[in-house]
This record gives sequence, structure tokens and C-alpha cells, in this order.
Amino acid sequence: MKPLTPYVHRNSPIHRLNPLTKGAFFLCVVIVAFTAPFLWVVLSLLGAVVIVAAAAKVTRNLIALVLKSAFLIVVLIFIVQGLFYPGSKAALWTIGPVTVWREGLRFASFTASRLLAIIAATVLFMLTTRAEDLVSEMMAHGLSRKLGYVVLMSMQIMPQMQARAAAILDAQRSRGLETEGGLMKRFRAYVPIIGPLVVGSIISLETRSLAIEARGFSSSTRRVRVEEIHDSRGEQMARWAAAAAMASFVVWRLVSWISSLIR
Amino acid sequence: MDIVIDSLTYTYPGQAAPALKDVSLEIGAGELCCLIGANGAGKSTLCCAIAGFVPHFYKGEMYGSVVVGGVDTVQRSIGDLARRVGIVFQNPFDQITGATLTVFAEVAFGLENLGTPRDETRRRIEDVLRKVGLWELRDRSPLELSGGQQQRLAIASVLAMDPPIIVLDEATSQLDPAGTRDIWRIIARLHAAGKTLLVAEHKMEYVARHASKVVLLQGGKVIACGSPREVLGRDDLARCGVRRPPFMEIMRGLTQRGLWQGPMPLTLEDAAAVLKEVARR
Amino acid sequence: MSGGTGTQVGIVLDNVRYEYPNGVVALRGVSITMGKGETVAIVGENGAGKTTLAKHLNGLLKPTSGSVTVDGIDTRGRTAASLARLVGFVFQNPDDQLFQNQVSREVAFGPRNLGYAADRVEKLVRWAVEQVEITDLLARHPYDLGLAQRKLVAIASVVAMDTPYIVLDEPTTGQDYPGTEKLGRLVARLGSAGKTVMAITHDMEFAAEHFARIIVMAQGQVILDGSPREVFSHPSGLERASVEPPQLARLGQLMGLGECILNEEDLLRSLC
Ligand SMILES: Nc1ncnc2c1ncn2[C@@H]1O[C@H](COP(=O)(O)OP(=O)(O)OP(=O)(O)O)[C@@H](O)[C@H]1O
Ligand SMILES: Nc1ncnc2c1ncn2[C@@H]1O[C@H](COP(=O)(O)OP(=O)(O)OP(=O)(O)O)[C@@H](O)[C@H]1O
Ligand SMILES: [Mg+2]
Ligand SMILES: [Mg+2]
Repeated sequence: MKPLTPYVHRNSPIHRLNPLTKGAFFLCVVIVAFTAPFLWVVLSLLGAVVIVAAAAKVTRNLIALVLKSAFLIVVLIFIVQGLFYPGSKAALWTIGPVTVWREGLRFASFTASRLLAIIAATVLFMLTTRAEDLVSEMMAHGLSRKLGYVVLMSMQIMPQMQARAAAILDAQRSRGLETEGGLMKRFRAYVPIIGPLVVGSIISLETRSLAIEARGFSSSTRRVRVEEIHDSRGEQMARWAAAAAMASFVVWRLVSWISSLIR
Repeated sequence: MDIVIDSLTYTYPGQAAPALKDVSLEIGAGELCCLIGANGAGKSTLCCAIAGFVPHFYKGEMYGSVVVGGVDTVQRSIGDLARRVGIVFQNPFDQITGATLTVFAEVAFGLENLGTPRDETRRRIEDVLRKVGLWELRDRSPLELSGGQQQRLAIASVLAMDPPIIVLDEATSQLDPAGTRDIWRIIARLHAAGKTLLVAEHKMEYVARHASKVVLLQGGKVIACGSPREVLGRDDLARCGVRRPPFMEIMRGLTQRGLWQGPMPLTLEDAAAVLKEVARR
Repeated sequence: MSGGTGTQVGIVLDNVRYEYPNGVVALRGVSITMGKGETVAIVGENGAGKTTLAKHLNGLLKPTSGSVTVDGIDTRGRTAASLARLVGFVFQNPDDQLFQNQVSREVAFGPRNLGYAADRVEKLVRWAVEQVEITDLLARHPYDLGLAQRKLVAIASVVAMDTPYIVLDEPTTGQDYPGTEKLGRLVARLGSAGKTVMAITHDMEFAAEHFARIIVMAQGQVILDGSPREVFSHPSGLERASVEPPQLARLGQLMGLGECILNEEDLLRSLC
């Protein structure tokens, strides 16, 4: 079975950064990628993520995971927008009844880049940060145990479902359910187990929460991590700077958006 | 710390029949109490009641009370009870938190929650991982272990927290014979050190050897409660789904034929000595 | 796809080596041959590679090197699903396996996958729950059952596929004595019906009483292979595998009896 989180251990300065610092920059990338008005901004963000990934020695994992999670949706964006972008005028090619529109493609590449930048930043964050460390740090900075618990559990939902699905699939393959082969075959194999998978994951998530509780996670004492998580003055300042930059960026975007409405 | 259970009746949600019926039981501080009985007798449910999982986690309908070291379990959360009661689940896979990435961090998790100082945490982890034979695997992911290794990890993570009451729900079920022996040796040592232990177990050889008290459950009721000699000597044991250790069966045969009048031996060594003597005669 | 010749009956593992993706080498050159109708118990220390070995028999895992053939069919060219017709496999943890909301549906899942007609499926379900002696559980929800009973349900759901080979990963875990006896009877019935049964267990009494052959594993290798009497007469090998002989055999050793004691008759004979 695969580990429950995509975290990959490496000896790198990025891994050693405080989880909150990484979290802050991750949020920056998401906000900017989401709202940036120019394609080049989004592309340079994507470039920055790749450079940081290289510094963290996880480029290959990043690319593999991003491709795996974004491939299908990116293809869909191109197909849907390329063919059906509303109000398109400039046809690029026409093959029989199908016309590919220039505006559609431009819009598709912009949307896809935003999406890729956000997914890449998310994956990079998860590749270099242990969920446990992040939650510990958030709790050390005043997050309540209850919320910390919710964050920890929700960070586990997807990987949990995956692990559970892998186990169930193995067991059902052993009982003659064909899960290897063409797309259609795989699809048909998954249908009967989706319901049980969801129920099963909820049950196993409940069991996990019991396991965590039984180790006193919600007891009232202050948690002491066995491995100290480093934090420095510099990192703290960088986080404040990032927050300030984001605040001004958001204000700027809001103002220009409202003024475009007024005009 | 002692455990006092008073007329406990508990029904799982949606079930017609209660899983525990009017159970009253006192387990004194420092006792090594073994829970025995057939599948479905209610051993796990009773273990869960002491850790507060019943009723906090499983919900359902509960009457009566469970008092652990003077504290009513209904009044406290599972997290707070974890300081008093450590429990090793029946299914070791369920005990892995999924929040950690290595065997070492998994054992550390509970200690961190208790706010144990770093050096102390490190010392305890090493100690307990060596005891259960996982020290070499400390950097391995908890999910990349064999079933028995996972069970050892579950035991280690509870022992590391060093609670005054330890509940083990068939904690040796997936261990190899030497591993079972080792864990029982640890249990005996904890007993000698004054811990209160409640152990659900199907391996009667160890129950006979180590228990200070044996509780026999059937259909959610306490059928018998007493010394291992008393309870394992009962004629209705097989009817309750429990097999006497084979060596005890042989000794009973000797007693019935009038070949041995002394007390029933509780260990293999004692039985061997008696048999040798009988054979000499 | 490597087509089997179908002439060679039985399971043959030839020098199987298996390395997990994380680099752990779980099997280091295992060679075993199992014939039709054989009942084989696999015992050995935690982490010896027993589960890993078992998962090779139905193609869930494929050897890193060496080969596994079932009735002459190399597992490497086959999916686990297509091998499910030949080899039934029961997981160590029943919770990995059970996913239907009723026992009867759970037991019917396998035979239905194999494409059997409705009436045949129904017959197989009935037959399987009778073999495992859990007819009374048919209408229950698997999650309302205790772990030991869930395990029996998992076993029945594999028995129902009526495969010539059945692999049980620690069926005795958590079973009470009547449950263990049920499993003993199951092994005997399947064996006399000509099926090959392989069971992993840590219960030496169970292994000695119900199996004709015992294989002892340690550190990814087979270190002993023979009849219960042969295997339990090798204290040093057993110790290497963290295994101890059944209770009566140990009693015999403590009494200084030379021969290997496996039951009361043995004991009485050697005493007189
Ligand atoms: N989560 C649950 N929901 C509903 N019923 C349950 C649940 N868990 C157990 N039961 C039922 O409660 C009764 C007692 O079960 P329990 O697991 O306590 O028995 P046990 O003595 O531990 O058995 P085993 O030896 O199999 O572990 C059984 O009838 C069982 O079917
Ligand atoms: N998913 C996995 N990934 C990596 N290593 C694994 C995985 N599962 C098991 N291992 C390792 O492979 C070795 C063999 O494991 P296996 O599960 O086959 O042992 P086993 O003999 O079945 O033990 P047990 O009696 O405890 O069930 C062990 O050292 C184990 O730690
Ligand atoms: Mg139980
Ligand atoms: Mg195993």
C-alpha cells in the first residue's frame, strides 16, 4: 500500500523551511494564479514552482503527480473551450463540422495555465511538507485542537480514499473483478465498488479518528514535538511580507475590477 | 488505578440485543485480569467501555457505570481518558493513526500529545521499539509493515505512553509464537511493576500462567470471575467456547483417574514435573 | 500472454525473489511445489514473507525474478482477476476484503464475477456457508460482526468461488476454539474434495492437527518443509523462525522424552 501522503523526504533547504512559511507562499501562488490578468505572470509562477521543486529535489515527483492529476482536465478544457468558446470569431482550423477557434484556444491556455500553477503549487507544498508538521505548527500558533484535528483529518481524506481503494481493488481482483485493461473495462469494474468505497472510507476515517483520539490528541496538554520545527526571525518576517503583499495585491485587483465595472 | 464496573448494559446502535448484559466487575489496582470467552462474547465491547469508546465513539445505549481510577468514563472525553487508559485495539491496522510517516513518529505521536519532554520521548521510543523488536524498522512507513509488525507497533505506541491502566484486546493474535511469549513477558513485568492490566486473550496457556484474575464472558454476561485455577477448571468451559490448555486436560484426566491429587499445575513446567513424578510411580 | 500447456498440475514456485518498491526484499529465492489435494500450513516469524508469498500465488504480486506457475500457467502473463478462477485468496485483514452490506451478497460477489448463472451462484453461496459453518450469518451486515466472524465471512466468500486452489492468510487469527475447529473441518473437507489448501498460521496446534505438510519460513526463505512430525523435530530451525512446537511437544521436551509428541496418544505411548 502506498503511504497516505505524497510527502517525499529529501535533505533540502525547502524541506527544512517552516511549514507555515511554505504554506504562506503556497497561498500567494494560489491567489496570484487565480487573479493575475496576464498569462506571462501565471507562466512565471509556474516556472518559479518548478525552480523551487528543483531546489527541493522533487522535480520528477512534481511533474509525475501534476500530470497524473491535471492531464484529463487540461485536455477537457482545451476541447471544450477550443470548440465551444462563446462569441468566437477567428477560426483556426475547420475539419468537417468541427471548428477550432483562436479565442477559445487562447482562453483555454490561460485557464489551463492557472490551473496548472495552482495544482503544481499544491503538489509542491504537499511533497515537501508533512501534514503532521503543518498542523503542529498551526496549533503552536494558536489553532485550537479541534480545528487542528479537522485540518489533519481533511488532509488525509484523499490519500485515505486512495489507500482504501487500492486495498479494496486488490481484494476484488482476487475475486475475479477485472480491473486491468482498457478504459471501458476499468470503468465498469469501478462502478460496483464506488458506493462501498465511499462508505468504507468514511468508516476507516472514523477508525483513524478513534486511533488519534485514543493517543490523547485532544487532551488538554500542550503538544511537544519530538523533532523541533525550525522557525527563524527571517522566516517570520518573510511570512508577514507575503501577507502584506497579498493583501495589497488583492486590494489592487478588487479596485481595478470594480473600476472596470463602473466604467 | 482500579476499575469498577457497575451493572453495565450496552447495546450497539441499531442492534436488538445488548452486547453486554448487566456486567458488574471490580478490577483492583495492580491486577492482571484476563478476559476470556467465545467470539462475540463481548470481550472487545468491555475493553472499549473501559477506554470510553463505548459509549463516546460507538454511541448506542448504555446503562450502568464504568469508573476508572475514580472517574466516570461518561464524564470524560476519550482524549482525556487516554492518560489513564491505554488500549491496544483488536485490529492493529485500525490503530495506526495515518498521521505519521515513520514507525518512530507513530510511537512519538501519543507522547507528543501528552506533552512529554523531548529527551524523555526519545528514550522511551527507543526502549519500547527495542522491546517489541521494531527498532531496526524505525524509519519504515507504518503502512509498509507485515500484519504482525503492525501489531507490534500498536503495542509499542500504547506502552510508550505508560498509562496506569493498560487494556490489550487480543494484542498477540497476529504475533509469531516467540513474539507472543515476548509480549506476555512484558505484560508480566508490567504487572510486577504495579500496572493494572486487562487482557482479552484466546491463548489459554498464557492466561493460566500469568493471570491474577480471570473473567469468563458468554453472550455478554459474566459467567465466572476468579483465579485461573478456578475458572479454567470449570466443567462448562468448552460450552463457553474456551479450550483448556491441552496439558491441563491431561492433568484433569490424571486427577479423574485418581493418579494425581495435588493442585492443578498452571504452567507447562509444573505439569511436566508432575507427569514425570506420576510416570515414575 | 504466456499460454499454459495445462499438463503440469499444481503450483510451482521456482527461485522466487520479490522486492517491494521501497527496496525491502521480502522473498529471497523461494522454491516450493504444491500438488493437487495437498494441505499445506505456512508458519514463521513476523515479516518472514508469508503474506508476500501468498500474494504471488494468485498474481496480486509478480516475482521480481524467478517464476510462479499454476497448473503450468505463468502468473506473469496473467491478471489477478483471470487467475481468480484457479486460486482463491483470503486476505489477512478481512476489512480489506468485505464491502457489501449483507453477508449473502458478499459471498455471492466472487462467483458472480466469474460469470456463473444465477442458480449456480445461489448453490455455491449455500455450499460455501455450509462449508465454513456460518449459515446463521447470511442475513447479517458484515460490519455488525466481530472481527473473527468477519474473517469467516471473508473465507466463505472465497470458498464460494469453488477454485481448485485456496490460500488462507491467517484464518485462525482471533478465532475461539470452536471457530478454529470449524476451520480445521473446512480444511479437511476441501482437501478431501481434491482442492489444494494453503494456510498461513501462527497457531502451531492448528498446523499440526489439520495439515499434512508444514513449511517454515524465516527472512524471506524456506528453512523447513515436511510433515508436522518432521518439522517439529527440528528445534534449532524452529527457533530461527521464532516458532515453537505445539504445547504437547514442548511438554514432551520438558519431560525429556525423545520422540516428538503431537497428541495425547503419543504421550501415553512414550510414557508406558
Ligand atoms: N460495531 C458493532 N456494531 C454492532 N454490533 C457489534 C459491533 N461490534 C460488535 N458487535 C456485536 O456485539 C457482540 C459482542 O462483540 P465483541 O466484539 O465485543 O465480542 P468479542 O468477545 O470481542 O469477540 P471476538 O473474540 O470475536 O473478538 C457480538 O454479538 C457482535 O456481533
Ligand atoms: N507494502 C509493503 N511495502 C514494503 N514492505 C513491505 C510491505 N508489506 C510488507 N513489507 C515487508 O516485507 C517483509 C515481508 O512481509 P510479509 O507481510 O510478507 O510478512 P509475513 O510473513 O506475512 O508476516 P506476518 O506474520 O507479520 O503477517 C517484511 O519485512 C515487511 O516489513
Ligand atoms: Mg474481540
Ligand atoms: Mg502476513
